[in-house]
Amino acid sequence: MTSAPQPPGVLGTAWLTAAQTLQAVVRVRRVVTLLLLVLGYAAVTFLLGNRAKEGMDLRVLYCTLAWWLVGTAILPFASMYFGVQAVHGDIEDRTSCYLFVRPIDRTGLLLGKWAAAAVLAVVTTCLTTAAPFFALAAQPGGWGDGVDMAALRTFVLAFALGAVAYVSVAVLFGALFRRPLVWSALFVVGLQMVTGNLPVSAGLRRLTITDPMRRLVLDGIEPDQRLTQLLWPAERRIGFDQIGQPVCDLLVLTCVTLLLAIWRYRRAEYDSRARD
Amino acid sequence: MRPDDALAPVLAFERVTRWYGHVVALMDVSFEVGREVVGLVGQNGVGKSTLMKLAAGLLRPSQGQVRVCGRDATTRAARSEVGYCPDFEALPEGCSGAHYVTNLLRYHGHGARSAAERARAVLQELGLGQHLDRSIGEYSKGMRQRVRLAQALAHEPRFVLLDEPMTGLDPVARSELAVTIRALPARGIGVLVSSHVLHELESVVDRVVLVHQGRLLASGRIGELRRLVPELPQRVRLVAARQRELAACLLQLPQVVAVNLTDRDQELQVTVQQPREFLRELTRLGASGSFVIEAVQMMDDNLASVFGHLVG
Amino acid sequence: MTRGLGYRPLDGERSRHRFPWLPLVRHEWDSLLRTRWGVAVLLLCLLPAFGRLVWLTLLHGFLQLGDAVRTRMQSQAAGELAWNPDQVSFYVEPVLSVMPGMAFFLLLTSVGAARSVARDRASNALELYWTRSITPVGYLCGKWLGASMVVGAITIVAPMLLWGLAVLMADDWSRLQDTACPMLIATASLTLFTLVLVGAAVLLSALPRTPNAALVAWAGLLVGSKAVGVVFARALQWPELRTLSVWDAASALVRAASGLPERGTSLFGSAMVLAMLLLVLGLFAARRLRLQDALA
Repeated sequence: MTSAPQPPGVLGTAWLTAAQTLQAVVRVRRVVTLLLLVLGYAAVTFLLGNRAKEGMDLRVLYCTLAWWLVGTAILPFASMYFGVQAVHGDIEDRTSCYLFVRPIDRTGLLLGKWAAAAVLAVVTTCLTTAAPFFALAAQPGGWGDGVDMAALRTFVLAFALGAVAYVSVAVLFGALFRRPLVWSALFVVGLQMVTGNLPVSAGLRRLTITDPMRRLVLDGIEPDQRLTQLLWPAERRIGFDQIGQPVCDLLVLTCVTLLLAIWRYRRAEYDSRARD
Repeated sequence: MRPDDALAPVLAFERVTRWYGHVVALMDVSFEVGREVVGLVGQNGVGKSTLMKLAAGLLRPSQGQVRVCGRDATTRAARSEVGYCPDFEALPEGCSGAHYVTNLLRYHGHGARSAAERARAVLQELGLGQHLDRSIGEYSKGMRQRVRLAQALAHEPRFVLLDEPMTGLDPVARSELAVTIRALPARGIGVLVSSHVLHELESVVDRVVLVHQGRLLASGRIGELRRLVPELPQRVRLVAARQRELAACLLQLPQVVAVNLTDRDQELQVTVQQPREFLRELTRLGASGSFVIEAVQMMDDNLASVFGHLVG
Repeated sequence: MTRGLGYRPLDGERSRHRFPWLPLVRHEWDSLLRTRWGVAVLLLCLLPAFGRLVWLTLLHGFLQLGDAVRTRMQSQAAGELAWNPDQVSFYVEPVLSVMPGMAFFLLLTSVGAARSVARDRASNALELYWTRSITPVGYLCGKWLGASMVVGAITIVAPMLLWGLAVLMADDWSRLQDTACPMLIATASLTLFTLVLVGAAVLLSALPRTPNAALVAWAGLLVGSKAVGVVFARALQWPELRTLSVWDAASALVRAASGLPERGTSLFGSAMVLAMLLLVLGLFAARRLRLQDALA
């Protein structure tokens, strides 16, 4: 006589959910499209570097590209989208009820979805951060002090941590709100821009992701005044003595938002009526 | 299944009330479902779906208790005993039916291989054998309905909730589904099924639960319910020779309210007040040899007429 | 086009209504205001205008916070165009700036315009519209005008009201005489600005399959093009490349028309960027709004 199968625990559920979510998202066609886009991005960067290297250090160009294109546009919107879709996508299309009637803990479900979205966000971010670097590194003559691998490491680390934090915030919004993407847009464009006008010491800055990321980048690449002005023209001046502990800030934000999301996701009775 | 298990209810609503803010969706509802097929009947918006979701553990009652196999319906242990087929069409579009059911089975502790085998077997049983590996996005409405049924049945639950399961199915598939549902109690599975197609539900269920405006209106076998409302006039179809003379004779009986001669030869329709008394008189009439009565059919002894009378 | 799907043209009479899509305008407008969240979002987006109104009342002494505060405000108003009610900048700048202008514009469009067509596609409403006497062009017009009315509340109506109140609060009619004509031109250009950007949002929302993807695409276009403009302008030391940003391009037109200080953007380039954007989005949207795609 065979014993009845036992439902997985929290970690088992998280592992299963993450694997199934990634399996559903990662399709050959999508991966090829993403790689083509990244290659196109690298090619444009190469041409841009070729034109710009007479008047600009390619390190400065790389930092500008990485911060403005990846840090400001691709990273927040891609991460928030992945996070919101992972948690809220099936609530919105009502397929979540098939999961909620299984004998599993919703904590595992949420952690699995969060992990899958975080993996996707980190991979996308790392690819879009590394591609322009290698495209510009192919023109070593344009780098004043030689190709700066430390800049790549700094941006990859900062953006990877930032991506995980954005996904956590998105997961919280997905578990909390009916229109999580609108709140995400408000968070990215509203809250983060408002706090950019606050003094560097303001505690509200810790509720954002862009500010700790900025401190992390500042600490890693140690920009001169011109590069600082290029990267953060609207920000108040920040000294190296005010960097604080950005990694810790990001980790705290990630953990707090994730715990809140779990709390909400476990308790909520998601209405299975269609949402617009 | 132990003998005492067979008697224990798989679903028990104990004085369950559920509010949505200030709106009362269900009020003080109590009933039980054993290893049988129970039909849930009610108009739109009377709380049927809320009741289904409470039984599936998707909602918590505001008051009272919902128990599945003796356990609180919202616990993991109870959920492992429940299969739920919702009334809406939503399914993920990007994967095949077999893949989706396999994925859901993994959450019940099945290994990858056994889940895949089990999913394929159930889908084949439900008539999707030819389309196991096609994307759900390419499925017809009926095929999607079968996938929803498959995910509810695949993990061999002890209790199944079917919310409008006939929707979208063609007549052949409906009768096949009716056979499948009827066979479930024999496997030790209790079923609560809701439907608006009352005549189809009638052929499937052992008992019905009538819900109206959030309250339990009646519960029991259809015949029993019919007898609970004796004041309701009932139509009886008779086939007999000399129909005009028979009609004149029947009108003498105190139970007969009206007699209609139909267009068909030898057929008449009698509206009676106390059907049992009337049938006794009719038997006496037939035994006397005055009339040859070839057929007697109780036309209103069905769910639709009971429902219509009770709901008004 | 419908024959391939087995549809037959019906012998019927088309609606005699000249603009059968007009109810869509009303519907789009109502979609924001029928929920308390929608009203809250609209009020939130009007905050910059309220802020300026408070500034006006303090500046003109309707609210008293002491002479020192008023004197400081008067000196700031005299020093900065954007804080001087006698200048058009005071009314227009909050709309054109990145913060709060673009942020609130993005918020308001993400509630309505940026999801409008995708939302109808996801709920199969397109299929229903195509069985009415509404053509895809008429449908887009309805969505476009409705969404423009919503967004216009913060980009057109709010500056106009603020200006009207500023004129009434002024000591004499000199403010009216000095700013009436430029304000009229500024309002016309803000109307164009609103129509162009909302048009882009509505057309873009016709492309993706889901409302969420449409919203992200719109936010990506607005913020992403801004980032591209900044990077290219700085990398190639060619300030005109800032007009690669959709927002900056549209703002440049308003600035040029209203006589506001320009920020190194090219007027011709701005017009070209916007025209190309609308053309490309329009072509793709036309493909996506065909019956086959609506039914798919």
